[in-house]
Order: sequence, then structure tokens, then C-alpha cells
Amino acid sequence: MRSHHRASRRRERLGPPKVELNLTPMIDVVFQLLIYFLLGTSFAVGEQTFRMDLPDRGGRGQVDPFELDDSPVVIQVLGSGRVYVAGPWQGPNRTINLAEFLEEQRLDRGGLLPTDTPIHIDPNPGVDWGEAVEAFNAAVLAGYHSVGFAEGTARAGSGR
Amino acid sequence: MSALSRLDAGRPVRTGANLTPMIDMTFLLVVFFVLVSRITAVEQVPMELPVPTDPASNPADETARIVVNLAAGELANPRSVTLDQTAYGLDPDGLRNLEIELRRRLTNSPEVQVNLRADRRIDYAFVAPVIDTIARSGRGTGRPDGVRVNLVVMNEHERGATP
Repeated sequence: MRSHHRASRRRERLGPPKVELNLTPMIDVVFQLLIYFLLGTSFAVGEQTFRMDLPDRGGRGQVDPFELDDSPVVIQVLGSGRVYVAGPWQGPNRTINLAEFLEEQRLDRGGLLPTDTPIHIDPNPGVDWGEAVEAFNAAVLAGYHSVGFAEGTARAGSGR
Repeated sequence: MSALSRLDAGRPVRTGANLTPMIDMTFLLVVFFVLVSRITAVEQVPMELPVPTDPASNPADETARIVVNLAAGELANPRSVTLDQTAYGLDPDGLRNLEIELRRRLTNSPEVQVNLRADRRIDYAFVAPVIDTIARSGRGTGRPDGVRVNLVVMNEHERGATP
């Protein structure tokens, strides 16, 4: 009886009880989810890249005497979906046939060109960039590793 | 909660959620997303990227990069090329300044690559000098194979597949 009395007096001294929601675990979980989605999300949705190394041919002072002089295959992009591939063959006239043609010319497919043959895309100045990239894509799609853009003899890149 | 109520029968029970941590977190998130969206906007100037049919391109990796944007102007062809928020003219002076800035950054960061984002409607005549400038900027930066450039394109299939 006495102990019950003492307990109720202590409760009176402490005041009314407070009920609180502990939000800390929820915030912890939210933070974990945030990190997960940040790591898994790309802000450049759908964007992809073609890799291309751009050597500075104009500034080259030393010439490697052991470097083989690979004559490149030059693909002229004429505009309106037309291309011209200079060489000892009846090349395709249209960009849509370019990948198939280049693949047939690969050494491992019975053609004459090793896959490291430099492919130079040479768009006409008035050709839009999208069409130039289309030809670049065709060469990469055909399996060549050294594809770049050419401007006269000044520039050539290699990439995929 | 029911145990407490039983102990304090007859007393009003005050309930209240401590919202302070949640508000703290909310503000932190707001600040974070504002900063991220600004960074993204600087790198990703809105434009129509090339969309190759049957693309053989690769997903963009997370390597450090410099983003050079060549957006279309009013009559499709651009007047300037932008690096971060700085615009450089396509005249020889502008391109020379761009080359100097690119070389400075390439020298400071040996692993850095250059992403070239150009609008697909632009004439190649406007893109070629920028590619030349990027190539020249690698001079003296210790890159025997030249500057690594990533031509940015849009993969429509990837865009459709990404939530």
C-alpha cells in the first residue's frame, strides 16, 4: 500500500508522460535509399559515347622510323545519306549500306582490310554532324578499331 | 503506449512527433539537389544529339571529363562553343582561347577526357575546327596518343529502357 502511494507520488513529480515518435531509423533508411538511387541514377539518360583519340598531327616533331605507314580508307560523306569509299572496289553509295560493306572488307571475313586499318571519315563541310556521326558509327559497327575524322591530311583520330 | 495509458489512467497523454530531424534532412536534400541540378545544367546544354541507327556506342563511363558543348544557334549553326559556362567564339581568337583553357585543364589532370556534345543539325564545317582545337590542346600535356575524346550521341533504345 505504501509502495503504491510512493510510486504515484513519483509519477506526479515527473509530470504528464510524453509520447514521441522516433524518426531516426526512418531518416537512416531514407538516407540509405537516397545514396542507392544516386549511385544508380544517371543524369545523362540515354547518352552514350564513341571513344576517339585525337593525336596532334600538326605538332608532331619526331617521326617514329618503325611506324608503318597504314594508308587509311577514306569515307567521304556527301550528304543526303550518300557516301563514297575510295578504293579498289565498288563501294556503297548509301550510308545505310556502309557498315555491311566495311564488314565484308575485313580480313577475317575474306576481305583485304585488317580491323586496325585506319578509317577516316571525311564529311563535306555542308554535311550535318548527325550524318557524319552516322558514318562514324557504321565504321565502328563493322568492327574497325581505328576510326577518326579526317580533314585533308591534317587530322586523323583513332577510336571506337 | 497502452502501458503508459494504463499507468496514468485519467491523465491526458500528449503526443507529438519531433519533426526537427526530418526538417533538417529535407533542407539538406533540397540543397543537394539544387547543387546537382546546377552542375548537370552546366554540363548538359539542351540540344539534339546525333541518334545513330543501330548504335555501336558505349555507355558513358565515370572518368573525369571536360564537356565541350556545341549547341545549334537560331539558324541551326552555332556562334560559339561553350566550356562550362564560358562561351568561346568560333573565330580564330575564340578557338585559341578555348585551346589555352583546354590545355590548362588537360595539364592539371592527366586522366581527364573531353566529351564533345554537338547538335546533330550543325554543319560539319563548324564542328571540324572545334575537333582540331581539341587535338591541338593536347600538345605538351604528355599524351602520346593524343587527347581522348568522347563523341556524345543519344541512344534512343537506352533512353527508353532507363526508368
